[in-house]
Amino acid sequence: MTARLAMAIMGLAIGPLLGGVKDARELISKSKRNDVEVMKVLDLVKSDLNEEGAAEVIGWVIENGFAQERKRVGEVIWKLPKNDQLMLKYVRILSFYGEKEQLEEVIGKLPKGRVHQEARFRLALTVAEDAQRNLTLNNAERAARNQEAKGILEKLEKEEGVNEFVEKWVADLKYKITHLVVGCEAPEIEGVDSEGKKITLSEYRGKVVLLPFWGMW
Amino acid sequence: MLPFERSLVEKWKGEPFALVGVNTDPPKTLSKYVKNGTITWRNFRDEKVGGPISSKWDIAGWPTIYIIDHKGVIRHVSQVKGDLDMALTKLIMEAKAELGERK
Repeated sequence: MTARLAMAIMGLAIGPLLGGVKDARELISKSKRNDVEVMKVLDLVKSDLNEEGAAEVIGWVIENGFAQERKRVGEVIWKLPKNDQLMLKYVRILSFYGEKEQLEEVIGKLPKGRVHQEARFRLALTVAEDAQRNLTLNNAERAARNQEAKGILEKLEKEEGVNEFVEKWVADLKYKITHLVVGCEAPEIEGVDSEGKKITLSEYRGKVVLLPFWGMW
Repeated sequence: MLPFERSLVEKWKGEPFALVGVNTDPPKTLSKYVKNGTITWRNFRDEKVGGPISSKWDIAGWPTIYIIDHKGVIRHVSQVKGDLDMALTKLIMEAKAELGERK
């Protein structure tokens, strides 16, 4: 009893050193995924990231962590053996949460290649999303963000050997921020109406047009 | 959604305003509701979610509502109707002021 108590106290003090993938997995299986637990899981594996299964645990932390844990992952992820899948997961989650500075830091450290390309696309996406969705921005700030995103995309466009998926995403996002956001001239639409008669968007020039994309479904 | 749109058509009658939808229903459904008076504005037939027009405009959420000013510039993009009336009022006033000046 006393011995167990002593162990427990020691465990609290030097817990991270005693940890490892096995303990981390056990904690994960019981975890309610709150921030204290996610950080603890990370602490359990970070001392030996060459241990088998460490990448999988870090992946769990990336998926379940909060901003603070994601930042800590950014400090340790480089100690893992090269793992593109995990790095992509990290980059995508950072972009999803709009954590621009963190993403830029990762881009600065990544070697050239597929992940580096996608990370820069995700950065452009993060900036473009901010331009569109951030209600606190004025028009000049919005335009500046769009310009920043466009700059990143144009640099990627000019590069040789860009992955074909990244290439397509880059082209689509560039089209979107060049033609489909506030401040752009609306692209022409040509089609037919409910009666099959020809209709174009430009025939409404001179009027304010409310253009809902919709359906009864 | 529909009563709100019908009310806009009514409200801005005679003003430099047009409600033009991009409709993703099957053509038969669309013409049925136009004929029975449920839909009182013109629509592009896009025929299905992810039809050619919605794809080109990269529409990801439904509905997505654009407002284009009298010069053809995109001025507002939204997925909720709450702020539409205010945006429309502002832009229609702007259009009237500019169009009036040119006469």
